[in-house]
Amino acid sequence: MIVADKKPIDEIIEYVKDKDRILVLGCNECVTVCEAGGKKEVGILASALRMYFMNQGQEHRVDERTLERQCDHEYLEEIRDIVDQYDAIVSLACGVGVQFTAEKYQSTPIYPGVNTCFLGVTEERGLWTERCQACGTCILAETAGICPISRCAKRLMNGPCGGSTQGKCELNPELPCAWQLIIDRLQALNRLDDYEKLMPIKDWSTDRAGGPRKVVREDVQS
Amino acid sequence: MEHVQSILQSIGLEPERVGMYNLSSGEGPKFAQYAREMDSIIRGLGPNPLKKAQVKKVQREEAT
Repeated sequence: MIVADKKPIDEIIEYVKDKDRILVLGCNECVTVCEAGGKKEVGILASALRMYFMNQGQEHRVDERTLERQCDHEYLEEIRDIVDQYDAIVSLACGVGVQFTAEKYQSTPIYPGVNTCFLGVTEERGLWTERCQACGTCILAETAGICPISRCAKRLMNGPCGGSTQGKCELNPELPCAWQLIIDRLQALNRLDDYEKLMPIKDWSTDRAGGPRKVVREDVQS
Repeated sequence: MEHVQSILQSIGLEPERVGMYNLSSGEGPKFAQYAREMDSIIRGLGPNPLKKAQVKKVQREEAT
């Protein structure tokens, strides 16, 4: 999932303090799972904003709404009839949702309510870690299901580097060395011979370096 | 609890206005002690400014 973290409320207040009518717009997908932008967080932020304005002796309208997703036309259409009622929308979706909402409703300012961090997993409640950098050419088949692009600080294709010590990365003694994990797993799968094979130069043209990307699937286009 | 306190601070309220204590139903004296502590903190801080703001809002609405 896309992992996001809450923005400091002070920052959000700074965005909207001059706006009279504000919609806090949540998303029911990834940001709900990582407890940054779902219905519950929408309620908390909206209440905090109301309390802030009340404490300032100001009257602002702060409404709440949570969509199934903010990255699909069909769900974003659900606010078309009400969007003109607001001077600002604070979107608690990931950066994708914020941008798609802004594209769709061009005359209403959209502000981000979370910091979008990475593609990752929930290791335990309150702990999310990165697993994928969406490089566009997956090599997990060769690396025993462990991604050196997202989990090795140097994104090495043939590791580990000299900084790997007792299975940990030189960046941080608590950070596992991705290549140590790969070797251990290849060994567990009885595939250690594969480690001897040199990985070819990776095709980075599908990565972000090639500019904004798109996937076109004519077979599903109507 | 720290998160709630940080929200209160961000919106201009004293974070000490909220607290959480863990205790069992068999710890009456401790409950009373915590209640006295909280009471003393809140009295020191004075009334919740949001309540004052709410009263002013109602008065404004009634006047119009």
